[in-house]
Amino acid sequence: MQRDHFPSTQVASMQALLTGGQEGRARLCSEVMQRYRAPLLAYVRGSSLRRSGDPEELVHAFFASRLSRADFFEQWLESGFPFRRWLMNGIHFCAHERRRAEDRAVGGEPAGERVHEDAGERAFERALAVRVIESCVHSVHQSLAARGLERHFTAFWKRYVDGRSYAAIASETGLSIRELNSAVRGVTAELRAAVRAELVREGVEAEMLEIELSRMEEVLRP
Amino acid sequence: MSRPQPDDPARDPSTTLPLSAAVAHSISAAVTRGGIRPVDFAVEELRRAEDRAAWIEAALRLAFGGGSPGSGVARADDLVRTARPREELDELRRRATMAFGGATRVEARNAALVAYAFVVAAGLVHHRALLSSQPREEIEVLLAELAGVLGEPFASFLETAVKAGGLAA
Repeated sequence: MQRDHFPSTQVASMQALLTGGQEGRARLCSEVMQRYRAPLLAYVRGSSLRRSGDPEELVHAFFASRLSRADFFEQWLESGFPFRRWLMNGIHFCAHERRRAEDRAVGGEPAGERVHEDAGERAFERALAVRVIESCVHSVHQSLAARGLERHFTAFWKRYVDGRSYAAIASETGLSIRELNSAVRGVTAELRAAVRAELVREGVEAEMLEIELSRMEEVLRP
Repeated sequence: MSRPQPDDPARDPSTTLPLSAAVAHSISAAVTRGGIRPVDFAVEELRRAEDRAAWIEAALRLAFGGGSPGSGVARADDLVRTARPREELDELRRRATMAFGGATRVEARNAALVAYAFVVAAGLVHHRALLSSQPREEIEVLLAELAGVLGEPFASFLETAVKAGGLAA
């Protein structure tokens, strides 16, 4: 996915956390681990790193060693890399360090390595896209339930996940066609706003949001 | 956590988390296409119209080029109440499609889209046939959106078409 630096508001937000003492830094680390653990695991499993041992161990070691460094985030801010690229590069270095620590020879990468890296990056993008959608589905569902609009979410789900016709859903939910359409449109709009907000949090520039939505759909395509 | 079955109306979607990539793709596709659609412009224009029934009649005249091949001007009321032959509906749909594709102004495009919706609805209501190459889901949304902004008898006609389309699927 096309990513630039975090937008200025996000950089400011991260800097605020970084300057917020131990508590702020711990919160930032927690957010990073929560957001990127699954994508990094997918990346390791899909790239040449899968030969570096247990993926869970490697990702855990990466977080433990990098996030504990006092200058990890500052170095990223100075690097000019998108954050996700910074993480992918970082986990490669971490794997090399582990190999050296185990006193193994580190040879050149075999032919065809690039193919593995591409597959790893795609797996990373896919896992991150699933995580973004999942997070938005959860928050929108909770919000609708709190407003007594659970039935609207169910209608959306039947429509877009189960692929049911409006006639069938109307019959099952007791909603009229007009009510049903309005409910589905409303949930779609809320999910769309939530996903766009998540992408902004990820560092996507406003003018790239529509392209990014299409790219997300593309990487998720079975 | 297992994915609920489609025919379980009482299921709680929250139990579907974590999502599979396939489900995430379905939701992502809905979100991606959830932006502004052509029908939204038509709905907006209809909302602003002082006399929506008159607007519909004018839209059909504009899109159909003044008349239908069989029996003079194709009025919206006729399409609602009369089962016109399929061949005639096919011809009207073709004209509406051409009008939509050739429109250079948004008002003309809106008129063509609404005319198209009425012909497709007539096909569903009177012939139980989807006279469109568009996916059923898109037709359902088109008809339901217009039903939401129109008065009777058009709203019920379009809703009936959606129900007939679902039964035919």
